[in-house]
Amino acid sequence: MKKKNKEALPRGFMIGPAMAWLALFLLLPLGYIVVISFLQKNAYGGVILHFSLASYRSLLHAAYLKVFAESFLLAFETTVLCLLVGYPMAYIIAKSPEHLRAVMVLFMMLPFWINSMIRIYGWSTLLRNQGVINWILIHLGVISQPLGMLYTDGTVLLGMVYDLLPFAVLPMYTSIEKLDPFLLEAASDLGAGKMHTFLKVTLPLTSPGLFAATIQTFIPALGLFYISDMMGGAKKMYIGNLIKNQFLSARNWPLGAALSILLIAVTLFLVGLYSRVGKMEDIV
Amino acid sequence: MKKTGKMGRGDAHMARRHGFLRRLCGSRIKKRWKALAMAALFSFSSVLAGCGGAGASGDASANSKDVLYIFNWAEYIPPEVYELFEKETGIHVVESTYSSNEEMLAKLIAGKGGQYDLAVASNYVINAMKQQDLIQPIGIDQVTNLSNLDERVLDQNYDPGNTYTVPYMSTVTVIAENTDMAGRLGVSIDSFNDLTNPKLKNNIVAVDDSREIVGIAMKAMGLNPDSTDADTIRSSSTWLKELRPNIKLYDSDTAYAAMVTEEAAVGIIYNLDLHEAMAENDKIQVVQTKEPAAMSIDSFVLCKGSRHQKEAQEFINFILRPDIYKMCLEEFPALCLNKETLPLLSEEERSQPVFTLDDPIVQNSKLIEDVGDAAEYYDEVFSEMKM
Repeated sequence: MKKKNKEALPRGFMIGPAMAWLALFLLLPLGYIVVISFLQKNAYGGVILHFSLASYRSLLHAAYLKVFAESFLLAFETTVLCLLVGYPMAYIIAKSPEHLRAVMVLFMMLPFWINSMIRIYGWSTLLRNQGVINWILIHLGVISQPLGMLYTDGTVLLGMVYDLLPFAVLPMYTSIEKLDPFLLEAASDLGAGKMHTFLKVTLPLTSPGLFAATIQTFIPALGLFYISDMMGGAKKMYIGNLIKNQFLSARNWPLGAALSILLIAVTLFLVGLYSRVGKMEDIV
Repeated sequence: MKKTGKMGRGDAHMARRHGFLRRLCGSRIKKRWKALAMAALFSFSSVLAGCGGAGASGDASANSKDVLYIFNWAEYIPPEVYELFEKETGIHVVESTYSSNEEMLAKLIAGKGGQYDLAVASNYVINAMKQQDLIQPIGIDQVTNLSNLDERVLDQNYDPGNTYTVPYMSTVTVIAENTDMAGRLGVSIDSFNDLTNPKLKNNIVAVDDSREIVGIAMKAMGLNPDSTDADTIRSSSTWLKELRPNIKLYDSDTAYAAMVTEEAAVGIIYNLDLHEAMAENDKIQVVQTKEPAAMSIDSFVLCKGSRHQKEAQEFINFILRPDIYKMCLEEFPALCLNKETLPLLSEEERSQPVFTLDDPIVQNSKLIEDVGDAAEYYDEVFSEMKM
């Protein structure tokens, strides 16, 4: 046991601000959402102070389940692509000389200084029929008609992967960087080929990073809605759109709140699942 | 109805995108944080107010007598008008914006009054605002420039005698087509039913608004577009299913861009976007359909709890002045309701389609009516179209 440090500040003083912050900005709004999810909707927006389970009952509508299924599918595809593209990226960065690593990470983070909606809008100017890519291809004679890339499911996926990739690369990078090079040498000494070493040594030892990357892309991917609005032409409804609509156009706040709670529950479940396989510290 | 954009005088495209970006990074992000901070400190109920709740907090320190808080559509009154107003009267205007009537209602209800003085609302939400006690009589006898407005938009059934509302501008949802592209596709449009022509597959840009799109479906089917009957509204989903494959994108904010860049051959867009698109792409024309277009009158309303009634009246008089109204129109060319402004405009401006009340499409158009609780069925049908 450590000796108690008498010069330490009182505990309340140390953790007080953080707790107050959490209470004000997390617990209170969350509590508010929970409360209104159990109330009755007002025809003009807002709620009537009357207990009701109607919003939870309507969660079971087939249409909403379909929206959830679509959102999960998109989040799943986004995550898989982020891992497939991100792992080699993380590997290359981690194996680069030390002075280059910081620069490479910086370059990856640099776009984050710009609001992500603006970056997504930039993509649409690249991809549209009269955009840069089609213009180049047509002038090179590769195609005669514009490719019609914008406002498809494919561009939505592209936008999602683009937006979330750094969240996948960073934890994997940390994980790969921590990997002890002596273990790889030992594997090679014992006669393992490159592939064998990767599958039996590198991959298992960097799996915490992979899990962290999965969580960090899958969960935000579930809630993002502006990418499908801006790059997909708002043609498909995802959970995020559905929740936004309940508050801003359907005048059904309790349902919006109930949907949010369902989303939070799913997220917590996933994080719980993760905490059984991975270490929570790897996420941060 | 959603208002957007600047008139294409040369660099309108850039200017508009500028406005778009400004809206994205400026208001959404910053205001949400401000809203959160306010909510935490003052009231729980404004947590959900998001952007709106805190909009007016910017100039809290200024003398309350000299500040006017306006809650307005994004890009509907040019900032120069506010500057000029301050120069002439000393009253500083703080504007917060929204992009749909529903958003405005939700935020006013969440905010519980007092944070805005003037709002700009479409005719079909005026009743809801009265019922929810969100607005108060404007003091119409002090609005002397009311006489500048065309009588045809005054004394409407939603507000007899204009006790609560003073019209600003009007928008009409029209069908626009790129004649080249439509010709290539072999389509010609003269009724809403032509919009479901399979040849138009993936070629329509449409406003992202349940009342507008479901309204078009109902008119095409010969139903009342302001029905409040759930089954009638739901029956429009068969028509919407036919329209669905033809929609390339929904966009209320920058619909004109999809027309200008020829992403879409046909647009279901606001006349404001039509004017902008026509200025930048001469192949774009408006189509007169046999069904009436949907029109809405956007009016100034005085918010409940406002302590600046005098300043609000002064501002309304100012903006209805022919020269000031002209400034607004040149920046945001919706429908001109100010008969004293018309003589100040050039012949070219006046002859734009869907720009004055005498235009045949406008004459044939129909005001969108309040549907009360039935709004949710419209949203339901529209949402299902996207599922």
